[in-house]
Parts: sequence; structure tokens; C-alpha cells
Amino acid sequence: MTSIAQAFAGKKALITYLAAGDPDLETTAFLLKLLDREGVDLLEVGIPFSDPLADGPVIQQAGQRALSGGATLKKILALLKTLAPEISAPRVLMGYMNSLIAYGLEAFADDSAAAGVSGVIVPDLPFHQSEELASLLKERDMDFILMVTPNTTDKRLKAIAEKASGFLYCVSTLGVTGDSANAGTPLKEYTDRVRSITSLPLALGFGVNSPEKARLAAEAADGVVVGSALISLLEPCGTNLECLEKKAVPFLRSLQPSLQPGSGLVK
Amino acid sequence: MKTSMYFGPFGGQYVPETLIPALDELEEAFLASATDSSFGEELLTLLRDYDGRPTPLYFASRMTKALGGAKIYLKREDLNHTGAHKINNALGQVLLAKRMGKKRIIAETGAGQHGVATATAAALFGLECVVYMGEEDIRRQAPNVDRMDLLGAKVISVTSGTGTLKDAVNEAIRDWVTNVEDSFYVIGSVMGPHPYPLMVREFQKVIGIEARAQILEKEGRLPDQVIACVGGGSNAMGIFHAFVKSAWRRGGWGWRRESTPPPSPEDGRGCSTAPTPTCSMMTTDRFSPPIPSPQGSTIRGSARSTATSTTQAGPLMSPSPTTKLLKPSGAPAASRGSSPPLRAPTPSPTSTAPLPPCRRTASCW
Repeated sequence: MTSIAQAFAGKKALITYLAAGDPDLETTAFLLKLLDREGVDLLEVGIPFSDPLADGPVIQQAGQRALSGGATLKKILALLKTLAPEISAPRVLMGYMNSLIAYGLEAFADDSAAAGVSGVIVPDLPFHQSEELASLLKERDMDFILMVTPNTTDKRLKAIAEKASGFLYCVSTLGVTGDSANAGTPLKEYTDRVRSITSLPLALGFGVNSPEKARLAAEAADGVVVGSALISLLEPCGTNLECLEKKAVPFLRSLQPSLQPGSGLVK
Repeated sequence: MKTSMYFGPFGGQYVPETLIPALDELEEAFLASATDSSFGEELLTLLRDYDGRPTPLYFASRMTKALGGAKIYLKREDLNHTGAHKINNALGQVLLAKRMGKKRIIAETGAGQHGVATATAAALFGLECVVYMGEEDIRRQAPNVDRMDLLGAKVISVTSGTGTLKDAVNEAIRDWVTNVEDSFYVIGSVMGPHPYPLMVREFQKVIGIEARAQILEKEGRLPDQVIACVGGGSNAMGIFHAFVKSAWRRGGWGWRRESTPPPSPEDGRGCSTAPTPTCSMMTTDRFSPPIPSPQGSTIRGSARSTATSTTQAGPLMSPSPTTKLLKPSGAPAASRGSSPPLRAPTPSPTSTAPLPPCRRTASCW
């Protein structure tokens, strides 16, 4: 079983997203260790980029803080390599194609593997253009995680599911990250449609910002991604580690019970 | 995909998955329109009766004399309705949107020309129109903001990122991702995901078709050089497309940059596509995909005239493996014919001197 498959085994997975280097890499290192210790099942590590088309304002600003703070993909990979022995939750890199092209796809695959990265998500790389990256990752035993959306057709869903590995990232709404206003398709109906096509674990993300939203998402999927809500919560702390811990821990502990079926919170 | 998404090694679709169904739908509608004579007739009628085409090809006698080299003709795209070539494309895309049953038009704009053209076309067809414009550009281009407002378009100030054209594009795409089912995104240049580069070139190629016939009528021959300025490249591809085959036959086809050298990304104010100083005047430029800073993030363009502060040119502007790359005219390539090249003034910016402002077409010679 891969480390990503383990993250979904026997429970609903809590997945967090942080922009690496926001506001600096030392803070990111502290937070990743903290999230791991608090039982987060999978850590999405964002590569900051100037034009993150799939992201809303919260993650774009986090990326800008990280870029101003001097974060680069090279430094992020070096950090992940250093942290690898200290963190048990699998790390998944999420970044835009330009950053990867600039780094060099093969070098990126090599260095990610060396840094102990388990999988990669590229939100602006649709699967029909992903062959090169997908095979580079596969050769190095890393998962290539693809996204599907409520308007993805069944035919395309099948094709995506064939290429994807690890889990399928189900974007919950037509919109960008952090966008919770756009209700759209009922989650259960959406994930049932996806499940009829693939046996990969499904993670729901985009707009999960409260225990109640997390509960609804967990009812429909196998894992829940929380990004913008966590970043907004931590942003005022800056690099104050004590403040970060004080805010992050209760937030995570409020989310976790709502994910698991059979807990008092599930209605 | 029913057609190739690539021009040489460049092109493709680098967008969130949510947009793929919309791009598929768009490609299908666009390809259908290409073989639908009623679409072609309606567009040609609009271009003639509403836009005022064909635009004249004007012999610039005083400029010819002053520069003392080639005979210079100007293709007067400035005489289109709304004052720029942008309307050619806007009419084509909005007509397509109307036929696709879309209710809402989204556009981005830099200087405002594309925004004004799209607002005009949307008003003509009675469609809702939302234009995204960087807050700094809104300040710099107030008259165009007023025009869009008068045309009934909603201009949304973009404050994210650098508050300029690239951020307006990002916001427009985010709007499209969110409202993909009833909205049509009108891109103003030969950029963005497939099929936009192809589609925008098709709607702009009328410039070159006219210019080719006009020069043959006036001079009885094809020109030695066709020169265009490049932001994203829509007017350049519009005029070049009709001349490319002839140029191949004459063995003189190639890309040549006439520009100031790109400032280093490190100084933080360059036109950001590393090998492509997009704020400069070019006889087309070598284009590579937007990989502006060493980490792949874009930095803001420096052009004072927003019209030219795009951070990338389109994939059609990129040299394919079969394209001959010519040296800048200051050092003519040996294989080039004998006609004297037009010289662009090429001041060398240092890290402390301000970059020369990019002015409108004629003044940058």
C-alpha cells in the first residue's frame, strides 16, 4: 500500500493545504510538523506562483507573501527533504505548470522523489497534456493526482480516472479555492457519479471552511481538503509560532470529529 | 480536441479542469462556424457596415522621405470603429457567443481598447458585458473606462497581484470558471488556451488579406517587409498570416526582433517574459512561453502604455523548428536580402535608467 492509500485506509482523511514559504519557510516547517503531530492524514504543500488560476484570493495572497519572502521550488524541495524523517503524513506537492517547466520536469520529478514527496497535483495541467509528467512521476513511484469537477463529463471522468493514481481530487464547486458561496451540484450526487466510474479514494476540496461543511463533504467523499480557511485563520499570526499553534490546534480538533462517521457530530 | 492545439512546441491548454468542457464546446462551435456560410456572411456584413472595413492602406510619403529607406505603407487599423483592430475579433467572438446561446460576455483589458471593442460588440447584440481591468490601468486609461461605462459594460477593478493586465486576465478566468455555463470569455489576443490563439488569428486575418490585395494593387508586388508591433500578437498575426506563404516562396521568412534588450528580471521592472521584451516594437519577436522569472512566476511588465504590458506573446508568435530566426536589424543576418532594414532606436536601459516608454505604433520606429 502506498503512503497515500494508507492516508485513506479505514477512515475519512483530513487533508490540509498550506502555501510553502508563507510567510517564510521556517514557519512552514513548524506548521507541517504541527499538522502532522495533530493527526492530519495528508499534507498538501503549495508551490507559490504569481498567477494561480484555480485559486481564490486567500491562496493567491499566501503565494504572494511566500514569493516576497523568497520561497522558491528549490528551497521548498530542500525543506521537504530535511523534514522527511520527522513527518509521518504523506506530503503532496501542489503547483502550477509554469513553476515545474521553469524547474525542469525531470529534475522536478527527481528532486521530489528524493525529498520524499508522495504525489503531485498540477491544477492547470489537464490530463490530456499530462503524459510526460505522469510517466516521470510513475517511474519514481509517486502518485499523479488529477482533479475532476462537477461539470466533467462521464467520458472524460473515465479517461481521467484511468490516468490518476493515489486519489481523485474532486473540486466541489464551479469556482476557485476558498469559494464557498457557489453551492452547485449536491455533493453526494456528484461523488456517487464519480464513484460509479472509479474505485480511487475521493477527496473533496474548495470551500470547506467549517466543521459543518467538512461533515457534509466527509459524508460524500473519503477525504476532505481544507486550505483557504486554515490559511485565513493563521495569517494574522505571521511568524509567531505560539500564536500559530494556539489557532491551528483547536481548529483541527474541531474538524476531525466531524469527519468520522459514528461520531456524535454526524447527524 | 478536433484540431491541433499546438504551434510548433507552444500552445495547448493550461487551465483548470472546470474550463475544459467550455473549451470543448467553444472549439466545436468555432469549427462549425468556419464552415457555416451564414456565420461568415453575417460577420462580413458587420465588418463592412458596422466596423467600416476595409481599412485603407496609406502611403506615408513624409515618413518614407524622412527615413530615407523603404517606401512605407500604413495599414490603417486605427480607422476601425472604436479606433483599433480589436473590434475585428470582438465582433467575431461575440457573434459566436450569441449563436452559442450565451447570455453574458466576460473580457479582460489592458489599455481598454479590447474592453471598448468587446463592450461595443456586446451592446450591439444586447448581451450583458463584464470587463476586468487592473486598478492601475483604470487610473491610467480613464477615457476608455468611461466609454465602456457608456456602452453599458460593467468594469471591474482588479486589485489582486500587480493590478495590471495579467491580473485582469486571471480574474476574468476566475469569473469564467465560476460562471462557465452561461458566460463566454472574449480573449483579446492570440493567447490563452486553445482554441483562442487559432480563433483570434482567424478573426484578425482580415487585416492581412486586405493589406495583401491593397499592396498588390498599389505596387504590383509584395512588400519586402511586413512590420507589426506585438503585445500578445493579435494584430501581428492578423497581418502576417496572409503573407507567410509568399514569404516562404521567396525564401525570406523569418522572425526578427526590433527592440530594446530585455532588462533582467532581477531588477523587477522588466517586461517579464524573459527572452521577450513585449513592450518593444518588433518585426515580430521570438517568443517562448511565459517563464519570466527563474522560478516561473511572472513579474509585472514595465511599459508605461498599458496597451503593451502583456507578460507574454501568444504561441503563434513563437518560432517553430522550421522558422528562421533573423538577427535584429542593427546586425542584419547575412542570408537576408539586400533591402536596408528599418532601424529602431535601441537605447540600452541600465538598471537605474527608466525604460523608454512604449508608444503607439508609428512613434516607435
